[in-house]
Amino acid sequence: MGTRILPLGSWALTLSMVLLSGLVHAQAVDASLRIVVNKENKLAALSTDDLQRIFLGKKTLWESGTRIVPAMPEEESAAGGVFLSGTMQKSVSQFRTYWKRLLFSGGGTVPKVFRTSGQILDFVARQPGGIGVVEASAVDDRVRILEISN
Amino acid sequence: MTLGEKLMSAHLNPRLLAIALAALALASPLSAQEMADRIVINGYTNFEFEKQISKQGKGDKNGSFDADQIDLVFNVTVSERVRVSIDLSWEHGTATELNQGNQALEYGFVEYALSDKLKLRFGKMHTPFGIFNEIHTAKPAFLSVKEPPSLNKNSRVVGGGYLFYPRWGAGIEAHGDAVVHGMDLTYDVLVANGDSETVNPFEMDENPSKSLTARVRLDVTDNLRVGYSFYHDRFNSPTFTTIQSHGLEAELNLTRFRVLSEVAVGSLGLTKGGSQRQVGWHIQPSVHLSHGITPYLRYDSFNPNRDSTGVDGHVFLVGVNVELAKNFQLKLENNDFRGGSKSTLAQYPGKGYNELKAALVLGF
Repeated sequence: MGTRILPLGSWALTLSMVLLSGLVHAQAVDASLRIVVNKENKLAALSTDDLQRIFLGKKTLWESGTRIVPAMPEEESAAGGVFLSGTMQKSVSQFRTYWKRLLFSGGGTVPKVFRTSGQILDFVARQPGGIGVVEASAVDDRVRILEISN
Repeated sequence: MTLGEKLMSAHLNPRLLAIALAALALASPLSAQEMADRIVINGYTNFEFEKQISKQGKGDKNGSFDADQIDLVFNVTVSERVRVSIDLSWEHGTATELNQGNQALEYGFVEYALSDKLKLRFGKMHTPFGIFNEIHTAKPAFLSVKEPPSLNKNSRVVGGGYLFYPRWGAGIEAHGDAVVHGMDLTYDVLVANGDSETVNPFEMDENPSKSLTARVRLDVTDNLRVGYSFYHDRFNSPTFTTIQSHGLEAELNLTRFRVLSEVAVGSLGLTKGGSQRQVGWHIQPSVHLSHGITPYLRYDSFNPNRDSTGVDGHVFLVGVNVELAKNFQLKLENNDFRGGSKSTLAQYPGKGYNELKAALVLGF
């Protein structure tokens, strides 16, 4: 039996579905993670889109004018993987390639990467513009949890 | 006697010395922390090997190692709204005493952020045209050994053309990110001195007309980006009057399968009348397999004069990029250069040649 070739309409439909898959909104934040900010930060909530923009270097200033300083777990860690694939909708490779292009063209600095949630809490606690992705179980009163909405 | 020797020989009060050392010990970690938070140093290095495998051609006939470059990239957060970004480059084993290699400020600019929608940059920067110009030295940022030459270094494809835009400019740039109808939009507008034949264009303009570069990119979805670039300048030259280029770019960025493509058309005004019109384009599909292995293909095409026939050139590239460790890549590829019957490649058997390229690339 010969190989069946999909008609042009089917290819167009498949391509459209692939492209439209990029329109699906990112999952807010996995239940195992929390987004924390410095206690000086008065912002009550943040949208998932803005959270994505922060970790892609597109949103760099809080409404107060303070520079945003993002921090996250290592990409290969369980928490880092969950954040990238869930909230950021990117693979490790996509995320790294994106940032290498931005960093080496002078477009900004890569989010600070830490081995442990404790280190991220330390960092966010001393940075007025800090925002971090941490394991839910690690959160303490050095920082404030930011509500993330879809 | 040096200052150090003076200090060593000084009869210091032991109590004072102890207090000073204690203060230094207490103060140093804090200032080091602040420094680390404010000053970020990154960089990249690239080591290459190239060997022409055709008997004739304009590639590297001997097979040579190339200590291609080492770059240090500095980002300094001066204040909440002010950032300095610098890329210092040493290429090909720089030794100025021996007149070897090249050292350069790839870019060095100050960015003042009025908002995310408007950031003003001034200094020396890469011309923001298309996908590759701003990262053309940053080999960790793309798959292949060299960036696609059809737009950025078209003489590597075939001779007879001109650059669609100068790769660098000194001037003022407006850059911004915004959200339009739910889609992320990024724009750049650079006003610079433009290219120059007689003076350092990063210090002086040889005519009163400034070059204008503009680029807008739209993330249509999370995995599809499209963009348009424009460049225009006037010359003070006995041969040329103006240059104008338009570029289109598109990137489909799926988890496993990616494609990027660009096309640029240029027009170089001639003093004697008329213009030389050229076109270049490339397309690069790649498949991102497990274990960091990414095979890729690329087809580059460049026609230096659209009003002539047989002057065009093409490069077909087959390669693989292997991520050996985080941000450490091995690249292997074959570049097949072919040209038309009246092109600068027509002198070689088969109107072209093959060259193997390999590179070890590290970003840090």
